[in-house]
Amino acid sequence: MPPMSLQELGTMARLMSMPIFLAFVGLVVLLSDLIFNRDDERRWPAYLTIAGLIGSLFLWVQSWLVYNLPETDNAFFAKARELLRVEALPQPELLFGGMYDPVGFFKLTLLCNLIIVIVALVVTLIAPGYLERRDLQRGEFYALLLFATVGLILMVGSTHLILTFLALELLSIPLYILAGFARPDLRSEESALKYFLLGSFASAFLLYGIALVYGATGTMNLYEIRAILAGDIQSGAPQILLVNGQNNLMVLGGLTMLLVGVGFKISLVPFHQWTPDVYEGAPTVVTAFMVAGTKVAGFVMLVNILVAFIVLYEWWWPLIAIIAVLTMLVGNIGAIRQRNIKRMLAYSSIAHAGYMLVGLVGLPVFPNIILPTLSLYLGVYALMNLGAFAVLMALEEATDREIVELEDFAGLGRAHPVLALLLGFFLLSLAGFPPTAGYFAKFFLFTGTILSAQRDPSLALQQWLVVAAVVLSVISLFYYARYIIAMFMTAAPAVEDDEEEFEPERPSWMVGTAVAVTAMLVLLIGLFPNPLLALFQ
Amino acid sequence: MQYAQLAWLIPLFPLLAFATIILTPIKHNKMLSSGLAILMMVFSWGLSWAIFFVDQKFLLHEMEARHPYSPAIDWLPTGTTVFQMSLLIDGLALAMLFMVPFVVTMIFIYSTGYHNLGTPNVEPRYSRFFAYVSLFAAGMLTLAISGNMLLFFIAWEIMGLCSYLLIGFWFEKGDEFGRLSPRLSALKAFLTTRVGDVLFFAGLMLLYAQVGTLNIHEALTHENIEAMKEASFGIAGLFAVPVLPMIALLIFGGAVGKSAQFPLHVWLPDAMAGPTPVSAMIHAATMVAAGVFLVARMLPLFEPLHGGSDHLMVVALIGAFTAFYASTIAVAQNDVKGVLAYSTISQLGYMIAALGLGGLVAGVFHMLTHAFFKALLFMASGSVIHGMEHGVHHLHGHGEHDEHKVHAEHGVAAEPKQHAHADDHHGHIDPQNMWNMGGLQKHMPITFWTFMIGGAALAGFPFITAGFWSKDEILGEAFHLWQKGEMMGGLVPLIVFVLLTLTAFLTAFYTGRQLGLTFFGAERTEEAKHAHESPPAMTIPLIVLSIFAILAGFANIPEGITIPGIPGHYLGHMLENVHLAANEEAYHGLPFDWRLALISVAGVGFMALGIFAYRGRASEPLKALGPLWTAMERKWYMDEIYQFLVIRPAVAFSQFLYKVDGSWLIDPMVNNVGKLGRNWGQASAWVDRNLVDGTVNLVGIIANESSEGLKRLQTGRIQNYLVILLGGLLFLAGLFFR
Repeated sequence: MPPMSLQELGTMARLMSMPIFLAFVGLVVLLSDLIFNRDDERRWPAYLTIAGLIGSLFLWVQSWLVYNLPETDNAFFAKARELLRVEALPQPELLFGGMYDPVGFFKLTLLCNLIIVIVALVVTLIAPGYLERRDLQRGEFYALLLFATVGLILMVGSTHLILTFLALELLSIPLYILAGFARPDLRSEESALKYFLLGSFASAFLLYGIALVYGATGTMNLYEIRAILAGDIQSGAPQILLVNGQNNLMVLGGLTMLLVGVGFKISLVPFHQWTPDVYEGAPTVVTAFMVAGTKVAGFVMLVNILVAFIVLYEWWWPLIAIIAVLTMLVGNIGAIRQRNIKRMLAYSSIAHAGYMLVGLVGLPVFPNIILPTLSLYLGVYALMNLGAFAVLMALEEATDREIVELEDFAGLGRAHPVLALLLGFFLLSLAGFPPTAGYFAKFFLFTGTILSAQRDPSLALQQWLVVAAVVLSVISLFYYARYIIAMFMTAAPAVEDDEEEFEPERPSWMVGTAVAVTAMLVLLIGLFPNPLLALFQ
Repeated sequence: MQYAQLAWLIPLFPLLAFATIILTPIKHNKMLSSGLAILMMVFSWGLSWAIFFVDQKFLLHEMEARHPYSPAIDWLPTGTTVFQMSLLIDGLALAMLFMVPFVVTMIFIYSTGYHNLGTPNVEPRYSRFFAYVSLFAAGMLTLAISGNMLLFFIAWEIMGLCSYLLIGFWFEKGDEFGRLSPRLSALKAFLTTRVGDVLFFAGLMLLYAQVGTLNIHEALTHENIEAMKEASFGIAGLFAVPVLPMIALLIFGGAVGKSAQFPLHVWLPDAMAGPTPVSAMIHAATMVAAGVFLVARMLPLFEPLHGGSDHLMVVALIGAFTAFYASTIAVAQNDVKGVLAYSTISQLGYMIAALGLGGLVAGVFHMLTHAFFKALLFMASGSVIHGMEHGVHHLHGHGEHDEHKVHAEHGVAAEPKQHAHADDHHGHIDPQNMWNMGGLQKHMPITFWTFMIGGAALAGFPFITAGFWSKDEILGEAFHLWQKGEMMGGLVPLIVFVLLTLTAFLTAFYTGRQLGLTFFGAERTEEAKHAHESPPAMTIPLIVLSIFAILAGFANIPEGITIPGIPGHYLGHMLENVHLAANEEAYHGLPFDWRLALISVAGVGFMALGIFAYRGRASEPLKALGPLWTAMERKWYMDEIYQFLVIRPAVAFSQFLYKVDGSWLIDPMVNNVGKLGRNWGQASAWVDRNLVDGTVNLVGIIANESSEGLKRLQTGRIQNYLVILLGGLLFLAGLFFR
């Protein structure tokens, strides 16, 4: 590595500053919990967290300015760059000793960092009220949330399997704790324990896969793995891939293990079974974080791994295709029977993972189409789910009762028309109902797969995946619409005594902001999908 | 030139007023609605006069005769060509711009008083009235400046619609005092003019097919006319129809409908069922002039040069006949507005006859002067009716105990008169019947004097009224052509001249009769005694218009008469280029001819006769004419003829069609098809229920059951999950190591 100038070093520190800064904020929040009086309103840690996350948003803007190529600059970017005195890097470099790529393929990492910060921000906005209502206001919640966020960010940018594993654990361990945060609530504890046991199991698979890959290739750096595998094919004397005319079991076994480990985190079938139980038992805000944040980061991790093994495309795409079909099937059919919205959203998140896998199938053929649309889909997916959870929180605040079961939704359309409309909007968007953002995200994603299937006759089977995805997403309308019907077309249950009739309260500003921000973003993406997509490219 | 560029704004102002009143809550405020309408109209008026006075010189003389100012924008693409929306501001349009917005503004102001703004009796649909008349004004102004026949036709139709809406404005009224109800009158007007409109539109299509454009100054070039003269088209390969007369007569059909020429004149008298300002504006001053304007615009099609074509003679004869025919009816009318209605038809006949003799300037001149004095007459008659209604209210509006006494008085007063129309109706008298009036001179002095001026103008009182100069010019045109022996050796001009002269005498006579019955002598009824002068909002427009009814005549005074400061043939020079385009020869104003002026002098005698014969008289002296009088009173049985020739056959035919449709052919067919469809539907419903639904339900059951199965897998036990996880791993590994 050539010696760096001081300025380059400074730039580099800036580029890594997001996870570093967030980890620092996490520590501060942890300490502040000791300083501030435990008996007063427990919102100070939340405010600190919000401030930190907003600060990291600025850091993100800065790194965007660094990595967005000056040629594609518009006047606005140029002005911002001038104001912040940021210079664009002509060629993005790996940081952290080559273990961290802040940009990723087609800016996937960079964009997902933004999504992750927004997820953390929205969760922090809706958390305090929820925690207070359940008397769970402990300061470490926010610190754990921030550590998990740092884990997500590192996981997304990691180009080294060791860093990937570390990031995964940095994410998982706080999540285990957060899932059980509602102790002594039995369901929460059960959720935490299940998540922990199965998660450790999955981590073991992941580690085993890392070991096998390292054994076969001699490196854990994903870029190097890709280069070695590609060189192996090109050299004409395959050393690693084929042993005695057979596939190298070490490479393929390692890849399989890696897929199992990642598949567990993003709840692909058949590694999904923890999902409904954990999502249902965990505190709702934690569920929101897992649904939106973990899945986004996990998917980017999957993309990074698949890109490293791109030469094995012909081996892995049928595998991904089968998993995609299974995932969509189980996710959608499983959701039909659910009468608990958290479980329903758990299954729906499984189904969405299936759709995204459909998009990933064509990855090496049209990476320039699929990766930007995948980042759009991830963003929209995160926003829709967060929006739905935020509205749920707002409804809880407004009605002063827990709203999770289908019966709880009866008559909400009359009592809280605006919130009910918004929830309906998010649910329709999740179902991919035109012209919502969910529709356009699906549309663009599937377009990539269709193009890939048309380009290569041997991949023609892929278009049937899209057919399956479309048919199954029609089924999905059933279970999403059920909540809308419950809200607008069922009468509220009779109130036993008059005391329960109270003036509907307005949700607090934090939850209101969360709802408004998510709704605005989903609406904007739904109305103007193209400019946004152009930004991603 | 700076104002002419804004000409497109002229119709937009009233259109804006219409849209605003109809679409916004302004309509709930009567004062604001009429204020807005008047303001917009004043803008339009100001702009029009600015163009007229400031830009006239440029528009007329600095632009070439064959290339008048005609800005155009593309409008409707039709295959390879494009319909344009264009304006045409030549001398003719300028003449209209001088007259229309001014008269309309006066009428708007008058309407506020007529509809009793600011009193408890205010018209309930007041705002709607102003919206409609604004739309009408927009239509008329569009028509005046449009340079494209399609736009012209649209404006034409807008006016037709407004006419319909406004005639039927009091649609809830029944048929009072033997007059057709407003509802039916509106229908009659709309349907009758529609006949003309269809002919007009057919003519336009034919014209477009021939020349490929509807832009007036491009379509009516000399070359196009010559080409069309040669052309003919066959109907079913049998008859060769010459194109040019066909187009000209079809378009003239439109004018016949709109300008109420014989035989499509029947709608106009009944159109008086609308509010009087509407009668003044639409059915006297402007809309009916649109037909005349149309003929003037299309005059090149009629080939007025070289002794005139056959179809031009048709125009002349129809005009002259209408003029005479309508004036005979007007003599026998008892309704104050009815007289004016027939006199309008008669005067329109004058204009059409003038145009039919190729007298573009004379026809347009009479159209302008007529607009001023006829609007004045109508508004004055409205004022009379208003005053009479006031009398009626005064006498009958005091409750039960008064009613009796009034009836007694009324009975005494009504005893001498023998007129059926003057009879009581619901205990009230008809405030429009002249036999109920008399002596109003004392009670309504302003109305009297303005009516007098208008009447004098209509009768053609020599030298000082506008009507004299314009009528004189038309008579002079006919006389001149007769002398020259043109148009069938002078026969046509002679017929026209004779008929128009007789009409002039009749006109003077019935005007005198009307004045005598209405204003002179003693009051015939108690109501007339209690009539009193209308509010200033009504009388001021009357005064203003009466000034114009006198001065407008000096717009085209002939040579031989010199009045200091007034150029001779002012209007003639304004229309010079239009005249040149139509006639291919420069306009030479006719010199003043004393022989013709004598006709008008004789007319004064007839007018005086009318006044003195009817002042204070209680019954109709001309009843002595017997059946002739009855025929005149019954309008030469024209309505009955229509009933017999048109309406009854039409109704019988439609009943026949109804039978075909309802009981013989169509309905049974439809019903059987329906039955067939129902049976088919039942069959397919059976298939649907038993086969398709079964399949769908099966899918649903499968989904549900598999969901149930999944639920069973979801045990909640970690051990089971781990087993499944391992199974999945093995499954994947199996796929890899296949």
